[in-house]
Amino acid sequence: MTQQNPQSVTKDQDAVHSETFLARQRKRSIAIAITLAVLVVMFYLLTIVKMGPALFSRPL
Amino acid sequence: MGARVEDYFALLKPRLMSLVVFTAVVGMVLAPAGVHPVVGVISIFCIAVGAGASGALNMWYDADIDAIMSRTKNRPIPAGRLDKTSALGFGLVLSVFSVSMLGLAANWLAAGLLALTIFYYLVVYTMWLKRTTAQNTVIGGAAGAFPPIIGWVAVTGSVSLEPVLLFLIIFLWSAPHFWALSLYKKSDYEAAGIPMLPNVAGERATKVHLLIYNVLLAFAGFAPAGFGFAGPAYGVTAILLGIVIVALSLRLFGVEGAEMRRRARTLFLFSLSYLFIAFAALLVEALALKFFGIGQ
Repeated sequence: MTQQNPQSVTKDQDAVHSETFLARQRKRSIAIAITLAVLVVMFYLLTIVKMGPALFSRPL
Repeated sequence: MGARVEDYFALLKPRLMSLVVFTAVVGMVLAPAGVHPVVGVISIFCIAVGAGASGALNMWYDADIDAIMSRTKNRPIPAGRLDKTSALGFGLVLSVFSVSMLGLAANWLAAGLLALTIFYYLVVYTMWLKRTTAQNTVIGGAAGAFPPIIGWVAVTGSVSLEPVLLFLIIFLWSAPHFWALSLYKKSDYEAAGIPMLPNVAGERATKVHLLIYNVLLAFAGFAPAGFGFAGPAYGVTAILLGIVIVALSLRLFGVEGAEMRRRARTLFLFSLSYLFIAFAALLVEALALKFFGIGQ
């Protein structure tokens, strides 16, 4: 039976943990980006609906 | 290791959120005025986010008791997947966002009612009543009953009798719904130290309370048809639903132990269908009237 070096086991675990951490962080960043994009679209549409065509024909 | 996106989503109590969205849509559709589709969709979105925010704040405050009960121990905070501070921040940001956005999109009365709902659910129900009185579900039920009023107000800008009747239906529905749950999950609530009616007043008193509330619910459920703002199709549906829920409440008497718990679970599940079917009937009838003139 071969014995595993405890230090290499810890390193492997750390690598798995950091990979999981990065994957979760990446998913969170994507979720935040999507949320921000939705907000931009929402504010844009709401501005158009609330102000209507007058938004484009008002005096500057 | 960092929370997953799914954990943040779970904080919003998506199932409760879907009920809130559904009842708010019914409130909006029944309102006797039109609303621009964009404003309507954004208003519903805000109401949903506001409900999710109260869910997140509730999980932040209740993390200690959630860890004890089997139904809630896998929630993100007690399971150790998310820290309390993140949940608090998430809930507060969503609360401020949803209220402000609803004010800008619809009107400030609707936004004020949404703010009141969040405050009521977090402070009055979660922080104060839930751990101190067995009447917690009665008074706390008001928080879940506000969405149809908010939907109505988002369209009309004012409150009238019709949304108040919808409020009354959900208000009278929520207490017996959770009493049925507490009858078959009694030990869970006991372990967590939450004073639910079966633990404080006993099973018989709970059954009596449950029956009285469900009789009142059956009458309140018929009220929209009785007052003339819902049609005969809804009226018949409400009568049938009322008869079944009262019959299921009566079936709890005279049985104990596992059989009583089984019947309480059946009542709990039917109670969920009651609200869904009643509001779906109102919605279908209102849509049929608006788009096809059926029911006039």
